[in-house]
Amino acid sequence: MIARAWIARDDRDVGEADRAIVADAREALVPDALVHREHGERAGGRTGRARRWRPPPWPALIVPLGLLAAWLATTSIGHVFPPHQLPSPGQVASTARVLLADGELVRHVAASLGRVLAGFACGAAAAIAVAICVGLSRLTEQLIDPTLQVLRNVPSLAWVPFLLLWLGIDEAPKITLIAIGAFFPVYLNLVAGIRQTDRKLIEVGYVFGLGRAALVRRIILPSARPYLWTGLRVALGQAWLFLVAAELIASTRGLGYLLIDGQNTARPDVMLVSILVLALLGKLSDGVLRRLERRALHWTDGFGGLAADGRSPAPGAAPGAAR
Amino acid sequence: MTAAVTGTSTGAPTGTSAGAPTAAITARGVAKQVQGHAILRDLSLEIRRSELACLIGPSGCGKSTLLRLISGLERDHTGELDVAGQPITGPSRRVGFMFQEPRLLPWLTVRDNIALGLPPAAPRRAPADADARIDALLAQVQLSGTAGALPRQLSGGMAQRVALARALAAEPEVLLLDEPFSAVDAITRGRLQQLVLEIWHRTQITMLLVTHDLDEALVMSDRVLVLSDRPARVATIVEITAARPRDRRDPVLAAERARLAEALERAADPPEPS
Repeated sequence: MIARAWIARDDRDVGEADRAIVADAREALVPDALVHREHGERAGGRTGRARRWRPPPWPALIVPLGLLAAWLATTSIGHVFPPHQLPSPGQVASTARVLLADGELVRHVAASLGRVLAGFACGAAAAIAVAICVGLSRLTEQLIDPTLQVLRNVPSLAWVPFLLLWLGIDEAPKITLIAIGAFFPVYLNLVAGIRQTDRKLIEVGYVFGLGRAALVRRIILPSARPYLWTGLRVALGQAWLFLVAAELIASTRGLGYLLIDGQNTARPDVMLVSILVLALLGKLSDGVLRRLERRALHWTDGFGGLAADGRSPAPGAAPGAAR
Repeated sequence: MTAAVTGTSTGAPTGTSAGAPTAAITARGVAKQVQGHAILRDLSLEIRRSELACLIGPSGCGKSTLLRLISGLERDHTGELDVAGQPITGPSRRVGFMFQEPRLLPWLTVRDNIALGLPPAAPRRAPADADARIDALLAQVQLSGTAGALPRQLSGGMAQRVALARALAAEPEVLLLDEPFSAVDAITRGRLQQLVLEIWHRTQITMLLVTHDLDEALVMSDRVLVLSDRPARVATIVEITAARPRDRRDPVLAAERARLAEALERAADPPEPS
């Protein structure tokens, strides 16, 4: 099944390359209408294809399956670790089933997910606003950036006592802490993205008489989007990190709480469930963001990584196809 | 586009102040320094309305700098520099510019790239008109049907034609072309040259083309302005009188080619005073 999908995709890439070559050759020889209709189709076809789910390519499965095998070998089979240190996969699975059945797990996941989304949204929105100001103006950069760089280096846990002091022990300090975590990746990347805008494209804007605002809106910000998306993805990862920091203190719900609770009640299986669910949610949320990114950045024409056979993907192949 | 045609062919320039200037571009005693180096010195020229003129000269002599000054992309010159009788104060939609590279915005489709050249707010106010206009421009550069494609899907020649359509969308009075055919293969270059010639015939837009290719200058231009080595001045002006459409095998053209080559050689040779 997986192998078939892999082969099918390779075929498609080859087909794409061939068509591109044919199109180039035709351009020199025949009336253009033909070639161009084909280009239009290709554009439409690609966006349609990006939405379809594909199973992960088999190399992506090697390491996870290997780890699972090692876990099984050292617990259920080899008994290298006693259950109170490292419970077996079977034990962890049955604990997860119990937690799921009584609605406990859903409650924790909902609490954590809500906090991460709220914190991420606030932090990213603030970062976008500040990054635009700093990215566009040297003066604003000189005013704000050094301070932000200092704050950036404050370890996340150092904020906790002050946030509790100022904001109480409710949701506010937790969401604020997550927002702080999400702020800096977006900020740093977007400022870098704005600053790297191709001078040549800015000149195009000048030539067509764009004013300052139009230049920012139509050229500078769109061109910074790949950086913004990288920032958002790193920020979402940070948000999950800061979530656990936030939930370790003064909380009664959430996956961080479940982790600490497992520790306090000497339940390594509960701790592992919490960690695995955190990992899974982190990966899933990144996957969602990556899909959105791919759709938003379908216009990019990057390298895209080497394929397994060491060749670069065909020019014009869907970005991220190799991921 | 059609408005520009009637405006210039009747010799009654619209949108300019009284005293109807006959020249599209005038330079008098223009000098330009970059970091203490004189790039242009005492450069004077006059490009007539609806003329297709070429700037040619030794490489690095300041052809592109001159073109960028006229476009308003480059500033801080001394001397007088006017487009249609008005001094240049900065980039303006009156003066179109085609770069050496297509410089399409990679995140916009061909259609939206061309829309960038349309008058501001036109696509929002009358989207149907804007679309029709873009389709017409695409047809003009023989790219009908590519409106939905992204720049990365285009070949170099196609991308440069989109750039041409985008420049024309702004309906400039003057179109400056900075070696726009230098990065494509010989066949595509020939086709692009013919395309620009066709559009020039049809629209009568004044065009000033920088090139380092003698044959391109011969095929394209009414006059070739040969620049001297740095600091650049206009060393010689060679009129190309061969009849259009031009044939590279035309003996008249061959004679003019010899004259032009000689002029270029002299211009590149500093000890020769003119």
